Amino acid sequence: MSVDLGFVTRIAPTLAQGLGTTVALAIPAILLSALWAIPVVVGLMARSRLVARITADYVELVRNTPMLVQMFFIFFGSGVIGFPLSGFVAALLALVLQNGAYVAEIYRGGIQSVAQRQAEAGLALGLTKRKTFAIVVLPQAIRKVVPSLSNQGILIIKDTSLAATVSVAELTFQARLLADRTAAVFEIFFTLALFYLALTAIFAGTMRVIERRVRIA
Amino acid sequence: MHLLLASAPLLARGAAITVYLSVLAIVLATTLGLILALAQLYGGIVLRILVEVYLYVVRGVPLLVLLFAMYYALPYAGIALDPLAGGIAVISLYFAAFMTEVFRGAVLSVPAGQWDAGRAIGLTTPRILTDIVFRQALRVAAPPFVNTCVMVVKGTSLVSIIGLADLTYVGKAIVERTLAPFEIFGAVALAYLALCLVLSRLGRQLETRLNYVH
Amino acid sequence: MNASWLGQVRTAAVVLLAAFGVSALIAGTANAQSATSRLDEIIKRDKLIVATFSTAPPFCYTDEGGKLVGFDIDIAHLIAKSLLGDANKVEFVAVTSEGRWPAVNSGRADIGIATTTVYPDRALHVAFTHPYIDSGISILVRQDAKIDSLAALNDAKFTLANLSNPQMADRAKRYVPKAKLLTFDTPSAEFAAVKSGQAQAMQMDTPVLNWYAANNKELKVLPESLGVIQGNAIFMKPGDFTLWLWMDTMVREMTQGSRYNEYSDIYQKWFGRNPPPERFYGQSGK
Repeated sequence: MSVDLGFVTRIAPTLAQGLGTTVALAIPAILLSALWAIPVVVGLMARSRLVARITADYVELVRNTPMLVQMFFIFFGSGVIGFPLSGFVAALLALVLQNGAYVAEIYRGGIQSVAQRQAEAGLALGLTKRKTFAIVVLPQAIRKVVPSLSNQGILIIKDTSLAATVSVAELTFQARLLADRTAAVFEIFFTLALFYLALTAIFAGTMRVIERRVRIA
Repeated sequence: MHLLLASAPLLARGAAITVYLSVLAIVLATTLGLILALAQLYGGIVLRILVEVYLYVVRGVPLLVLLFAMYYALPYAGIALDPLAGGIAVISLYFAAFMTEVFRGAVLSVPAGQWDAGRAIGLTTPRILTDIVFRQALRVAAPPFVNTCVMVVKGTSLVSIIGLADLTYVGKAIVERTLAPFEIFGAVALAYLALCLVLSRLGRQLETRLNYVH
Repeated sequence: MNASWLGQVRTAAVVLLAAFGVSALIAGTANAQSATSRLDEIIKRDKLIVATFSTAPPFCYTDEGGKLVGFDIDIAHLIAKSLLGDANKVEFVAVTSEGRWPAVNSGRADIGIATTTVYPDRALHVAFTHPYIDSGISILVRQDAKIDSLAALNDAKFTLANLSNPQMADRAKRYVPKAKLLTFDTPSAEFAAVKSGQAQAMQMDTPVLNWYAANNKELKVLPESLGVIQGNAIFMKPGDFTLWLWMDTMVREMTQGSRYNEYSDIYQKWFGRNPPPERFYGQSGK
């Protein structure tokens, strides 16, 4: 087996196709998780004990079961009940459901850390409780937790690799197929690792820029 | 329901593998994490750079990719690990990075005053560490440590992709045969839930015992 | 280390390059040819280690009790009996579709008997014996999808379930480029997708599909096969002539010689008819 760095440049285009799918899965997953987490955190902090309890149970359930099992459950389950979801949609759903719960916990930490005085000031200005929350507290909370969100985003990017098991032709999937065709497994997995490192580095860098922009002085 | 009863022995065997993997991986990851955290805090510049790079790589590369590299690529270098040993090795190495962060953060969170006080009564750095700082750091480390242990349990499910008959693999095989994803994967999910909740419960007991000091 | 993200990417690249270089060096030296044959090891060990699948009925699959059974399994037992005198001196290693090559090349298993079709590009990685059973590649379809031919399947409204190996991907692109694809690790996952309706068709070795169709009345096998007659063979790490010669001799004795009776019994057990010389898999053009 010889070291063939020229080979890396030759297989990169094939892997790049998988990269496109990975990105196409990761970006909606990140955005939708951030969105889905909002009703979840509202549910977690709801006044009704029942709503809070149910939401907390949902969060506990997805936090303590493997992502793989969740993907399989949704993918195979959808087929059996007659509304088959594509692997992409099933994986996206699983990613959003699990990471939405984690992000909701991050939001909750942020919200609870926003000074009580901010909320009181909002109420003193005559805003309703709901408006105070939406206009005063929540935006500050979200800006505070950007670093934690960045971490979660990286986890989402890494979890897209699991979508290969439900037939999504992303990076890891393409790499495996390529490895089966050739004997150059080292070069392939080396390039694969490099792609993921680059992806996460770009994402982390972008989040750092965002963090600096929205940081509360 | 009848299906669940019939599948129970197979699922139990899978669960046994999962528990075995989890326990070993937690022990190994914790040990390695402790060593690397100490290296990062008190080692020379070369050691610190190596650890830093290792942490960076593990943070950015998915566990699945590392497992594949071990299973498909390493044999070509002459190192042939079976999915069980190789799985434990890779999972331990991966989560050792998380453990390193947990322990390092915990030690760094102990107030500087504790160190000063220790030096004031004439203790050397290692003695300060073991006698004063360690206990306090442990208290801070306990919650994220338990979280990481839960992550390890969830991470073991990935060995199913390289063909090891753990709980996830067995569940998937049964579902493919019987087409009953809700019952079987539901049972699998509940089993993982039970495992992780037991772990969290143990972790909370650990926290209370550590907090007992004060 | 608060370097910019670009600096971090560069650092990671340097480290990976270094690690890669080191491991490639190790790989270069680790492949020294050994003087003894794997066959001697097997005899000394008094046990045969066989890589196989666990999800491809009727060749190699697990029954409800979790035990490995199938045509390939029985063939492995026959080989062990001929080599070591006892059919039970076999240990099976269940692998995934892409895991079968590293399994034998790394030495984890002595040989592989895993419903593995011989192709020239596979022969670059492993050494094949002559085929121990004829095979072909067919398509299994749901009766209710009303697909009667390959041409009919070549339609964007149908989904084809594939196995995750390059040969299947190439065939799908060649014969049914317009159909949607679902790719799985195992034949049983493909089958589950077809059974549940997520896919309307699946591609797999003809004997496997015949078995599925025989056991599931709502599925049928399309008469056309993809390609011509193919053969499933035993594979092993290349370069070991002694091992290959013995295994190949064994295959020929099973299919044409002194072990034909035992081979026929196994064949009857799993396929309900006598083995060739008659070639019963249809020839298809293209």
